[in-house]
Amino acid sequence: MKKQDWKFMQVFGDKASSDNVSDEDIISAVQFERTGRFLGLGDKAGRLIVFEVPQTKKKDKAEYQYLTELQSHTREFDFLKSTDIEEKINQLQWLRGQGKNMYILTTNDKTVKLWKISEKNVTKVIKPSGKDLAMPKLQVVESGLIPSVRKVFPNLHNYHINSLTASNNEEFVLTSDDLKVYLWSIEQPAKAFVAVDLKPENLDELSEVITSSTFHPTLDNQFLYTTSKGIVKLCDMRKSGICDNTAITMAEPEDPAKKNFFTEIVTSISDACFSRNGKYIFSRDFLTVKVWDIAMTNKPVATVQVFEPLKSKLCDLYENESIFDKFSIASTLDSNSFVTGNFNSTFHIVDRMGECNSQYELNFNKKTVVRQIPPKYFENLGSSYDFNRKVQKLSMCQTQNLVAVACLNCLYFYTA
Amino acid sequence: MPKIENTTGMPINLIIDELKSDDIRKRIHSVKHLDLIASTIGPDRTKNELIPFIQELLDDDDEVLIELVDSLSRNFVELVGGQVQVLLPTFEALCRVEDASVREKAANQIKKCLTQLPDQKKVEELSIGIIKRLNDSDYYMAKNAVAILIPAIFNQVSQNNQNDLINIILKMSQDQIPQVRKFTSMYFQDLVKHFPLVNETFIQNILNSFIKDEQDFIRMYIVDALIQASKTPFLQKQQNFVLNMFKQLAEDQSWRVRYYFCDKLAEIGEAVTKEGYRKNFQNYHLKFLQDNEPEMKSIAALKIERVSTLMDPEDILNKLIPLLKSIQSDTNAFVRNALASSVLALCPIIGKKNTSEQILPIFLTLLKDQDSEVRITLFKKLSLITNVLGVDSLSQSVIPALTELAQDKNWRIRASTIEVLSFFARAIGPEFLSDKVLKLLLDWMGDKVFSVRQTAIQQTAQLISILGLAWADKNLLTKIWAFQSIQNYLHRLTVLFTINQITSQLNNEYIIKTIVPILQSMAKDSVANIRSNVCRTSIQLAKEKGGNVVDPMKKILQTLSDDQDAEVKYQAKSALESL
Repeated sequence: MKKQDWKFMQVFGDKASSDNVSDEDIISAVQFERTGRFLGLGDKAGRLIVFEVPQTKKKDKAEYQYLTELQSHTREFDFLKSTDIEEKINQLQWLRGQGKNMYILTTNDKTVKLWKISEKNVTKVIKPSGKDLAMPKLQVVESGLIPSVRKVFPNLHNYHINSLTASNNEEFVLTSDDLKVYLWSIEQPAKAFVAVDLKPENLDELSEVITSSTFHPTLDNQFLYTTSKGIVKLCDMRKSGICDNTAITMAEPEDPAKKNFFTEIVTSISDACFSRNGKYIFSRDFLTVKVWDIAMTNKPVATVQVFEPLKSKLCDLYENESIFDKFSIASTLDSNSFVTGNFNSTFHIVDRMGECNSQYELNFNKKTVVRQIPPKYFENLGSSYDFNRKVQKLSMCQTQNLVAVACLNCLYFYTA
Repeated sequence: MPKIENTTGMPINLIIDELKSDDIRKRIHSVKHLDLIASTIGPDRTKNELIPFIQELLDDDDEVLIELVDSLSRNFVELVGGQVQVLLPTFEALCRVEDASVREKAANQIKKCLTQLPDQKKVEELSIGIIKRLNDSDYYMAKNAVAILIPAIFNQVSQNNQNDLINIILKMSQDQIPQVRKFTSMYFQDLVKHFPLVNETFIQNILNSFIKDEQDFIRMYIVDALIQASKTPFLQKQQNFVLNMFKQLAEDQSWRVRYYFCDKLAEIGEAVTKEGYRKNFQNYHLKFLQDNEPEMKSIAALKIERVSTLMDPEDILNKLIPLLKSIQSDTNAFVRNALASSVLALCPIIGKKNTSEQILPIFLTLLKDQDSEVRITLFKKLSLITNVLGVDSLSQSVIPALTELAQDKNWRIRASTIEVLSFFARAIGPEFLSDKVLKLLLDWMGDKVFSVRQTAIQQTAQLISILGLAWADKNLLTKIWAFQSIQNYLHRLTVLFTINQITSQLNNEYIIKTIVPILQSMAKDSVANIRSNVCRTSIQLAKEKGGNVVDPMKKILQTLSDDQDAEVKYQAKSALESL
């Protein structure tokens, strides 16, 4: 496999702002639009920020520029449970644009919204209709990119929404919370279809929850979901209504010898994705990435230790609760590698055989700082290793070798 | 047309202004009353000022747009002085919005407008223009309207234009955006109706490309297109093609496509005639009844009623009924419910002996089903089996089941059971309404849930209309009047509500003899609510019955106009005034 050479391309953010990060600016969701021309970003304050590559006549790769932003969600209070519903954007999905209009689905813990951003003229009545019943005279007060909410999906989820994906044909939206996976139709927000239901008869017996879900990149009837027990399930909507009954299970049996206090926590899958060609599944748990070949589901093709030194730090990670952090994963365009984040402002690009693990360190010097992590690598992680600088969210462009990586409140672009 | 009256309580110019209000509810209200505005300013001004202004509203929320398209569909043709083409640009713009229901309604309105234009050439010119503009639009959703409009005007345009339209459909059927292919598939059934104007090869090519499409929702609609094609000479010419394609859909990998096929089985059967159905599709229906997917079993069970008319009674006995035994005990309640709603339709077809041997056991099993919905569904179709086997043989099993349902802890079930009663009265007559059943009705009249009491009162009125006042009085009403002495006032109210409900069925003699004493006594009730309702009942009786009823009613109202409760006093006084 041809080794890809990833290099730094662009960064939004600087050292000063990064040192004093306010909680609400932390980036919580990133996604490229289908054509790669736009990029959407969600943060803890419930904002959606859009970047674009301006259309220029220059042939060389143009850079992303800030385009517009909107307040997608606001903090709400759940009266039934007496808790706050955070405005943090958990995930976003771009839909096919029409003309100059952009459509984006955003979700926080409870509500999914469909936003439309379009070039509009906002008008105001300057001369109302009088006795002559003439039509009111209007004047343009604002012109440009105006956002509007097109649809709101009702609070169907009892638990926190962890994933949101749209099928390739955009007929369905898949959302999952701890116990259920729902299929919605964008056309009819009032009806949702339960595709998977993990709720046990007796809630006390609950031992496994759903941690993420995603559609197949091209086949609209297939999706996967992952659980806290490290299981990946591949479901086909064509086979049955309730998809769990006919799902293909991919799980590695637990080795009782290696079991310790942390095993249960670290085997919970934080994110999983299909490879671009749909042949493989990459699943990320706290310490490893498992590569599954869909044609062979009894064991993974490879299990890659993302960064082994973390194994020796599990106690500390448990103390500072970083052991519960969730990292995203994405497949490269050629399906031969995957990209996933780590602590200390680093992210990894690894080939799917697990042979070549490259660790990139994010910096503000516009340099590509990369080193190879050999297998069975050990390093003493000193006090300078910063667990707070987490690279949790990233997105791979679907049309070119370009990845957007978010660390706290900064956004970095790397390209190959 | 007559001028529309302003009942909004607002001046017209304010309604006009609120079309652009910040409050969405005000905008919706104004849009609802567009016809009022148009009627006030007259057709010329509507045409020249209002319609152009509506362009400013097209960027609004879906809720407003839905109101807008409904409002414009009502009588706007008259409101623009009959000049239909003035409305076309607005509807054309509405065909480009995101909401599918608005687009479809707007497209259908364009169709309607075009039928009202007398000049055929104009129709051709306008429709082709609209179709081409929508097709070339940046907004791919606009092609939805294209798929709707092309079949509507296809046979009214020149050969050249027809060729252009065919090419548009061909391109749409191969568009890379799945939704566009979906629009084409959904409305292809309308285009197929024009055979032989649309030729065989074209139809076959399009259907062949759809059947290979990976999207379920594109393959699904082929069923409709084939059904329509079968109603034209296309079926004779291409019988193998049609049958083979139906079979492919029945065996489709995706259960949703198979479901849609099963749903349309009755229509397919009608299109290909009984022999065609029995030879080609009967086995699929039987297979669906054994499918792994509960949704499939459900729809197959639901279709038994209609499909049974296409089957040979021998086949029903030998092939269909054996399968039902496993369905009656299916773990999924929806499946059993579907069976309950259609299995009894088999009784008249297979005759008394077979019904008794084969269907009766299934009936009795479902009657004891743990899910109340299943039992209720069965009851609604009871006449189908009682007609064949007779009521007496069944009443022994039916009445206990009815009694159990009547006491179900879910009030909705209780209410549904009551409705079953009038069906019995109608179908079977007073013999069925034995003491036991009447006791149930009285229990319902005293139920703690208001809706149940209300339904029971309505059923009483129904029973009177079926069985007559004399019967009702002897068996039922006397006992209801006894509610007067119940301590809980809500049940005393039931007496008055009953009187209200059955007023039209009472004769004056009965009223004077029985009702007046009741009202006189209740006018002295200690609870003001009761006395207030006495007023209402009295005035209703007086107005509806007239004659010698009026005087006694007046006397009662006069007593109440001196009541200590202000509300009662006011009601009595205004009632007297209106008399």
